[in-house]
Amino acid sequence: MNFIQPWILMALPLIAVPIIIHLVNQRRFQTVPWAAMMFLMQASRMSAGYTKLRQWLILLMRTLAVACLIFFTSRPLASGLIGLLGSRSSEVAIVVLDRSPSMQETQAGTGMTKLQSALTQLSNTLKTLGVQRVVLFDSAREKPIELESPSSMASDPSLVANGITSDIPGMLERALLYVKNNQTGNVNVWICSDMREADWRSRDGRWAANREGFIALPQDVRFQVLDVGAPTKENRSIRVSSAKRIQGAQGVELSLSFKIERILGSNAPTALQIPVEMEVGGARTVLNVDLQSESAEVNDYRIALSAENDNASQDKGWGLVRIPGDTNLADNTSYFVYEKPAPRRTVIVSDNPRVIEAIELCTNISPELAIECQTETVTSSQLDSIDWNAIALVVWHEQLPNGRALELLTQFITMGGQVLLFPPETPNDNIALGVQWTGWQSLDAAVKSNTAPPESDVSLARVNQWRNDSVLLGNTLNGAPLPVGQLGIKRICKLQAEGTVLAAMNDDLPLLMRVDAAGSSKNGVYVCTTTPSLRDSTFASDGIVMYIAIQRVLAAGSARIGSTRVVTAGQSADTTFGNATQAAGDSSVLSNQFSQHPGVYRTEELLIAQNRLAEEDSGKLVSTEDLSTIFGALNWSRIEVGSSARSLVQEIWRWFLIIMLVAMVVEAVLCMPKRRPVVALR
Amino acid sequence: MLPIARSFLDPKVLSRLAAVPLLSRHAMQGNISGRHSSPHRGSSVEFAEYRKYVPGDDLRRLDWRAFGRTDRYYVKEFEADTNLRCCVVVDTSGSMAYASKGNTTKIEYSRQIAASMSYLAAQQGDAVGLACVAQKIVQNIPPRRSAAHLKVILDTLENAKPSGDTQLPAILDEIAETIRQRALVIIISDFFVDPAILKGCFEHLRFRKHDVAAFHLLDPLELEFSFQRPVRFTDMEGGQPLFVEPTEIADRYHRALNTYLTDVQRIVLETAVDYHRVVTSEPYEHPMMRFLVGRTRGRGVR
Repeated sequence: MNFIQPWILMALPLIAVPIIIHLVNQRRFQTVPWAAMMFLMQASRMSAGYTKLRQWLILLMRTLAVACLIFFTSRPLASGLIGLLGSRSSEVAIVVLDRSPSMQETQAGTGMTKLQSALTQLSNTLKTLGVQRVVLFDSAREKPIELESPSSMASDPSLVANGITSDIPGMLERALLYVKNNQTGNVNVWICSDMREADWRSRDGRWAANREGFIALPQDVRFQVLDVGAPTKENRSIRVSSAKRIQGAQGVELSLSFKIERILGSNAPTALQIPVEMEVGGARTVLNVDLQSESAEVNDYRIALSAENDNASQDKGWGLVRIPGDTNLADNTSYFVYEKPAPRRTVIVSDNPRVIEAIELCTNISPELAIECQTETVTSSQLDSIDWNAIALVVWHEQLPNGRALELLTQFITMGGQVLLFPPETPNDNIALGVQWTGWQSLDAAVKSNTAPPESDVSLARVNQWRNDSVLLGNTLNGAPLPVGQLGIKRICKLQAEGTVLAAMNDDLPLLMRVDAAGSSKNGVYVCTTTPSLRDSTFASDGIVMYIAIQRVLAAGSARIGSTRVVTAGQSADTTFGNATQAAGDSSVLSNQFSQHPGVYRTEELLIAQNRLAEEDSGKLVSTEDLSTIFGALNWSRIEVGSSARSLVQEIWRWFLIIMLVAMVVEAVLCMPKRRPVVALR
Repeated sequence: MLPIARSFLDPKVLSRLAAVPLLSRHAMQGNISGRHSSPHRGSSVEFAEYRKYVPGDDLRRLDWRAFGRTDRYYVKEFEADTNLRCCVVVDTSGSMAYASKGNTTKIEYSRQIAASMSYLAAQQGDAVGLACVAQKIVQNIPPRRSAAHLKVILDTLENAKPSGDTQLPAILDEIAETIRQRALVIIISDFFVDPAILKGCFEHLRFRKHDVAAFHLLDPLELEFSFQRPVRFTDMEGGQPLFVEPTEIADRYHRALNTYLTDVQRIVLETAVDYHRVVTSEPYEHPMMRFLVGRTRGRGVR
């Protein structure tokens, strides 16, 4: 139990007042001459019995009443971990709010979503703790929201759930910066979340930096994790994995693939049939999908783009798939757009095209008939003549660019273009896109791979490690890994660069890297430290890996070409939705929040389908062990929040008031003169 | 103004009390004619019985009418009236000095009753005596009928000072033996003695055929015991002082008091004592009136 005004407890010695009065009263006796001493003598010889007990009870009740008076004026809080905050509550509370789609799950009993429940309870709690100002961080805004009072938190319309998966380490990073830059004094950081791993990203490297940053702060920072991740009754989600416009036997068709996942509750039936409603161009189709286990997938479901439709709608359009409502309405709909595929254009910038002619082959051969692939080989001096908006991939095999070339390339990268850098024959000292070539190195037998096939040339260095979760070298659709280990490397060009190594011979010899260029680690700038030339590697002879990787990077690059986009909520710049109108989705969403909410949006140039992140559909929770690792030596506690809308902290002064009143009544009853036996006077 | 005026005698009260005669409940053996019944036949106007004539009887008492009817000699007998000997016993022990705030001390109350009773008795020609008792008989004035004797009694009462402890049982036994003839013994005391012992004293007095009346004086505070703060009680009869928390002991005090009063009540019924419990807050006229009126109802018992 703790107190909001603990200084009043200094008055606790006052509970001795009744005892002192009792003792003083004992001293202040009067002397009375008395005739009827015989009765007093007899009375003193009798057993005191209940009378003595009554005196002690009266004293106890008086003491109790004084103690309760002191306790209730010091505003006690109910016990519990959260009660510890009472004695150190500050006027400012930092709230890190998870507004991800999973927070829209309805809690049993109340009909409130997890987000509403968390906000209501947190609002009541902060109000009870006497917090005057709330600084709130969420995933939708870079800057914190400053609320003047906790009570406005529950009713703030800007704090409704959105489609953005929260980045809790990122939000804490911003909170740390806020604490550093503002004189906040002791800080309580409240993290409201349903503990989804997708939001917490427990393996994220920023946690270590955050941890060290908060520990280094001079003031005391306490973290309260409000866990609203109550067990789910049962929740199903649907997600479109691909929507392609294809030329089928019956004409133009839409090939739709989607996946249904469900989080099983304790009483959920194991098998059920789900009617999936598909809406394309205003026409609805319902498909019953049998869900036997935790997920079901429908691939290449064809929907004819009807002949009645005009050609324009056959070429481009949008749609949605929907499943019946369940505990979370936010993951029951998935949006998609389709259009006639744009040609995949590649520009090869090379001063020696023969070295990388295998690349040109890979970029020219289309994986699908409907997709046209084009490749153009230029030199760096011809870059100005290129239509950059139509290019998906730039393969750079020259000295690293500088000047105008670097400017154009950077702009291209910023727009979402993909760049693949190969080392020139004689690299210079240029530094571009965070990369600097330092010279070629032949690989000898010291760099041999254990995984090399016995029939292969044992003198070649092999790729020992590669990321099969990356876009380029990821496993195939059927789950089989790419035969990266079979690639033989004769020499590599060493480099200095910051980024993610996707494949390497060993720790010092990277083969393929994703470079953190243009200020972001998410740009599509890849560096290969060797060339497809037979003099350097077996990329050309073992061409499967190179072809797949090139096509994948082309696909990523071509996603920005054309007039449709499929994006993830929160990952597009707000300018993308500048003059957008909503074609589908939640009609209550404000236009300046389009980038946060799933739906279909139409701008002058683009048709955008925006969905939640795929990880949102996974029910994986961050474990207590992970939380312990995340917070480490920080002062933190986890509070599981129930579904009620009451405050997490209960002021219990009413109980003390009641106890005090009861004590006073009992004392009065005990002090009440007993009904004395009537003495017969005659 | 009365020639015997005293502060404890109120003429108005006496005039009201004088309207009711002081009677004894039992036959008295006085030596002169009076208002009280006698165990012997006498010459009053109240017919008693017929008795056969025996030689030596006074021929004047022969009932000639009865002789005419029955041809036998009968003597007509009448009740005898005589005077009584009233012996007032006043307790002058230390406890009789007690009075709570606003009330009369017990000794003063005793004076008022004793003086009034003596006056009434003297007025109707009875012999009055007084015994002031504490550890022993402090003053003893034998019953006499003379008018001057009343003044002696009143002087004695006026000078009586309460002191010392009570040896009432022994003294009552002594008085029972000392008074030679049947008498009305009026005891005025707080009777703070063991009821069992008191019973023996009353029985002794009754055995000696005395008409025993008891005025039991109690102060209101002794009955209520309404103290709040801790009190150190000092014994007015010289015993050890006692420190008590009144709120703690009040219950037990009342239990002891009730037991005592119940026992006293039972004893006086068993011993046929004319018992009057008196709270000193009431005017002394009231218990005296009850005493006198109560006695008129028993008139005729011999």
